[in-house]
Amino acid sequence: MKRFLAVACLVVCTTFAFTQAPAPAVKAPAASQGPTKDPVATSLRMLLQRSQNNTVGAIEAMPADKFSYKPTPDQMPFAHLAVHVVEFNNSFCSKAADVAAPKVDGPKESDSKDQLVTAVKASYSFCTDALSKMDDSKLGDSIELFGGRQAPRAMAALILASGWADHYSAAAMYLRLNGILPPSAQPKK
Amino acid sequence: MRRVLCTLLLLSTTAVLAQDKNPVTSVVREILPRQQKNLVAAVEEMPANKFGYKPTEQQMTFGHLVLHIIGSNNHLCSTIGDVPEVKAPPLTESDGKEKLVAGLKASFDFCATALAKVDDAKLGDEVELFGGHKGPRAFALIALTNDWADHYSSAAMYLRLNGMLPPTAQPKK
Repeated sequence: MKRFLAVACLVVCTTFAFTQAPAPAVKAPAASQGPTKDPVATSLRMLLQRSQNNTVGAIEAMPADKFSYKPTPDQMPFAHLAVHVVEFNNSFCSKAADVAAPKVDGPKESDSKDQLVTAVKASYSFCTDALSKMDDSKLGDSIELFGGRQAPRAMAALILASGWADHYSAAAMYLRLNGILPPSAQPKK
Repeated sequence: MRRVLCTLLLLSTTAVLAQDKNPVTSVVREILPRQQKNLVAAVEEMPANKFGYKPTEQQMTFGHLVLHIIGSNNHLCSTIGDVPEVKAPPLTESDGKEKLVAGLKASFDFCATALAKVDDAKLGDEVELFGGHKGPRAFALIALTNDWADHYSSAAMYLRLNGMLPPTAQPKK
């Protein structure tokens, strides 16, 4: 986890956001450009590509016969985590960017690995499209977040990024407990 | 995991409802005490003789995780708040539970002070994030809340693997 945490936190966030290939339609701010326009939306777009690579990579790395694995009896199986990622991405990218959520049949944890991987990829594609349209002007809008509760759109934006970190952290741990190195801990090719 | 997010959602409705000219920094200030409570409680819950525990050989010990949280809080909150980092005696993962808990609490106190005066007008300012890399202050702010989520997720898993329920999974009293 040492390596994973290093990746998940600022060190690698900045490394990837600012020195490697940025997400589509995202240009990392350069030192001479001054203040970043729409800094929250820009930062989310930077984090999105890394989250997508790591989370999709983690779900692909888990063997199909381990999708029912859970570390302790109280925890969710890996397949449920994949379903949760899909639902979360579709919901929170919609709310953060003020774009309608995709009308799709949600995946089930009994779906095959291939189906779940496809659904996770589709949810990240939706996020890429939605966040490409996002700007910071609506972050103060009051929106419905969950169960009728209202909050500023900024809360959805921050929960979105936190969710990405939380989900990958969990997926990486499930992999390690099965003797598999998570994507962010793999030797660089 | 879902309970953590639900907690954040519930929290969000309590005090940030009014239209706020600083919605982003206000939300982070709302999230901070909840994450502080959960992370400190998770670290306090782990028995002192388990601070050397790690789930697999390649992973960090629980003590190192705590040290990492302290470092992340101090560095990012300093960057976000544009205030100098805390000058405290350096901790090591072998310092023992009591010292590490105290260091963790101090790092959250520092964050509360550092974030108190930040407003959204500064989020586009370029700051040094790490190792000479620069980016908008908003990126550091999001990295901070991401780290809290990531670190709590890890701490909760370490607790569960030792037969303990993490704070957010415990029955309400």
